[in-house]
Amino acid sequence: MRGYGHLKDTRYYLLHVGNAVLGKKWLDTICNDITDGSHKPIKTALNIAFSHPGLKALGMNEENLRAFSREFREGIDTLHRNRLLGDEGTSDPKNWIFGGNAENAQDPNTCDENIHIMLMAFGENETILTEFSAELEAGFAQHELSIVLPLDGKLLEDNKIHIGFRDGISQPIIKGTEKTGPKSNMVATGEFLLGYENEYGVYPDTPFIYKEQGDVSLLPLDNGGSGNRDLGHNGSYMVYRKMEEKVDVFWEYMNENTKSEDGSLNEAESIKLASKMIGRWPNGSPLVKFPDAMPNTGMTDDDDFGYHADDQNAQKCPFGSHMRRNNPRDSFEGNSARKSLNLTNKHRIIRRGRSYGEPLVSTPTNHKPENEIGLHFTCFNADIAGQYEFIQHTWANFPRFEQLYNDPDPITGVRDVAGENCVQNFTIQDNPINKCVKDLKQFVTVKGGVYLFFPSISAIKYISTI
Amino acid sequence: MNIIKQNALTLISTVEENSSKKLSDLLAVRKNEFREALGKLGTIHYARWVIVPGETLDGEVIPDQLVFSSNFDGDPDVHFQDLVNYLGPILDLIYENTVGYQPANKLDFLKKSRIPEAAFYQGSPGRTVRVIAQEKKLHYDLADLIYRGNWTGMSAKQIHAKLRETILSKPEYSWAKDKINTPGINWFGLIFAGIIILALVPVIILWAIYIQIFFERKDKPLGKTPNQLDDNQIEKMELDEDFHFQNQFSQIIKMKKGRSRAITVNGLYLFTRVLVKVFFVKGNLMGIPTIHFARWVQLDNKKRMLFFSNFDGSWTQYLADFIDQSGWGLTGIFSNTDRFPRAYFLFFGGAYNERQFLAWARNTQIQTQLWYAADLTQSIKNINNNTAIRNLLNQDLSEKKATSFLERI
Repeated sequence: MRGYGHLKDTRYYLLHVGNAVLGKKWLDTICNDITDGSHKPIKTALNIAFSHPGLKALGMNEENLRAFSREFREGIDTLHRNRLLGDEGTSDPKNWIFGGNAENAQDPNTCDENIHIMLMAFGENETILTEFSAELEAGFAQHELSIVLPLDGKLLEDNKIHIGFRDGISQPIIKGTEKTGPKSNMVATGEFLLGYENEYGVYPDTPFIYKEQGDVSLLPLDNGGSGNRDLGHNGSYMVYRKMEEKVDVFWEYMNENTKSEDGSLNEAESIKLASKMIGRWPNGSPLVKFPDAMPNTGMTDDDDFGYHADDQNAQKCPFGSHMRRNNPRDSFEGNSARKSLNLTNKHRIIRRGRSYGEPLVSTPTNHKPENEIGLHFTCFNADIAGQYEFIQHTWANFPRFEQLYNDPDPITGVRDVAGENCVQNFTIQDNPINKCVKDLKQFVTVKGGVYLFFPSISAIKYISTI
Repeated sequence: MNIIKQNALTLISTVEENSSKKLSDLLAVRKNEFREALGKLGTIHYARWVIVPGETLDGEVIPDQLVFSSNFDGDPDVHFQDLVNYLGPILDLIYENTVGYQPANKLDFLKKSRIPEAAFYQGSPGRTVRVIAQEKKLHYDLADLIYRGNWTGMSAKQIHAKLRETILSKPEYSWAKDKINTPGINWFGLIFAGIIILALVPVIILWAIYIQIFFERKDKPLGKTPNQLDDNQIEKMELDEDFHFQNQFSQIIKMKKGRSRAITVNGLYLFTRVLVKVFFVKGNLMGIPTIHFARWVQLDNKKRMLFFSNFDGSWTQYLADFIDQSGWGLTGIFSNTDRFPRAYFLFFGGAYNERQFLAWARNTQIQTQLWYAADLTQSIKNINNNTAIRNLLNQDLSEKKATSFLERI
């Protein structure tokens, strides 16, 4: 689950298993190359995740397949889930390039039933990655694994993403790991790893082996005491979504809404409006600490702050901003700081992102890419419904979040549904009056998605034996 | 301005044998037409028709029953008459599938089929459907004025004064000149209730111990997690969910047997009724700020309980809220129902077992054949915020109060 910040280049493979026996043989060999969490990889790293159809294709039996969580079993493209996640209009799975269900997929080869494995390769630079990829691809060919889609990505300069902002700053810290950080960010292990207690003090649903197959001795027993072998132990659920960043629409909106009286560009105000929408300045400085202007201190990962003490009325960091609403921290629904944290830490995710397309870090004056650019968004959580889906639906998409009326998340919650009369605003809390920018445009379009199981290395080994 | 109270109406009738499917199809096919009719009354906030599936309890066969629930403004007798006047032929269509219905005696039939609620919660007491709509427009117009106006150099007090002048000069806003008196926290009642409860604490503790020793340890919880439930059942529920960021929930729950359990739950209903009346009047039920209306109803000689709720957000969020904010209250009441996650001393465990509680809740959920809402576009927080704005508008405000007024828009 590490971010591998020093391995700049990535290639994700969406793979189809052509032959179960060969596929498992491949897994058996690749197992040894999978990077584990205990040490930092040097030149390359490799991780692997499985979809539900993928586990089925490899020969997992019905009873064991059924043991996985419902979201994972159903897949990301169902009518109800489309509503929950806001995958409508231009983000409708009908328009996805992969991951739509059989009915929606434009190309049947890329439908969810055919995406079995996601293999994630990381390399220190492009050359090393290319070499690594060649080796991997040779392995695919030998084991009848076909590449449904290769997805290249990289970390852009200063860890920024295409819209021009430093990303991936706020991450929860898993209790029990050696990482340190602000105490308010420490979250129970079981929120991210199966087999451990979560923030409710209970064990999250984890896939047990109900009907014996393969070498179950490779799997530990359930920590919850049921006596079952726990396939999920030390594993997690992973969400992957390919998200196009329409940087031209983004900056044109900012420029238009902040232009001077004579119609000329006001670059500082444009950046300020964008920062108010995000919650941080482009260099990562949080608005809560620097409400009026970006400090000249260079890039920062400052995540040590709350809202309760200094910004309860959101005049520094707006309620509707992307950062604040996706993690309200210690200021939630009028609760005390302590209670708020207690509540919000039950809905956190670990995010990992890699940018794709030309390496443009856009600005108010430079935002016209030649081709599609965007983000490979991935996140980890033990409970997809209670964490990722919850955040996306209840906090990001909800236009009546906190005390707002018509304000979806300006980055990830705006719907682009032709013909519908939808009021979508962004309100900036201010003194004496609140300011409102109206008619939000969709800056991010979903191009594909998949729900995956991210097993421990022992579990991968086990899967190769079923 | 005097408050017009919001009230609850619950009607129950036995479905004619083998008519459930026909009734269910009728409600599905003509949903929009029926909703339109309900809307014509102008006084219904939320309403639903639910076919409560029958079962065999203690050897007794309980048939399918049709429950009608409405949350409405004003006098119940007037409401009965309105239902007959506005829905006449529709009532015939629906109730001809139930036992004992006579089109010629609609009013009588409806009145006879009324049953009481054990507890009833409102998120925005004192606001009628009309007032909610008026205050919604007021908020919209104020926000628009602010957006389009030039307020440079003006203080909050001055801005408020200008807004007040502009709005109140319009004839369509003459109603906004008056404050609306919403129920306040009844401190006297609360203290009184508090004293009684304190006095009863030793009894409550002994009772909790009694329940734990003789009952809780023998309970048989459902023992499932959400993933272990029937997929088809859940899919069926989800078909109707999450269209508008507002949802409804209907539950039918078997009560645990025995007088002790009955005494416990009746005590807690009473406790709830009192608290709802004296304390939870500000749009917040034990810390949950998303419920519009909710009710508990005892059915079938108190052998079963119905729970109906209309709330903001998704089902997952709603239940998560409940656990987080009032797990003990939930456990207190619902631990007296069958298959609830194991509770300890009445208020501990139970709902706090998050996985099992979510599964239990989903497992007792039933389909709502027809759900009506007057307004799906506002949260309870919006509604109460609008009232606060209205009440502050026609007043002389200090700079501080004016600032706080403007923060709401």
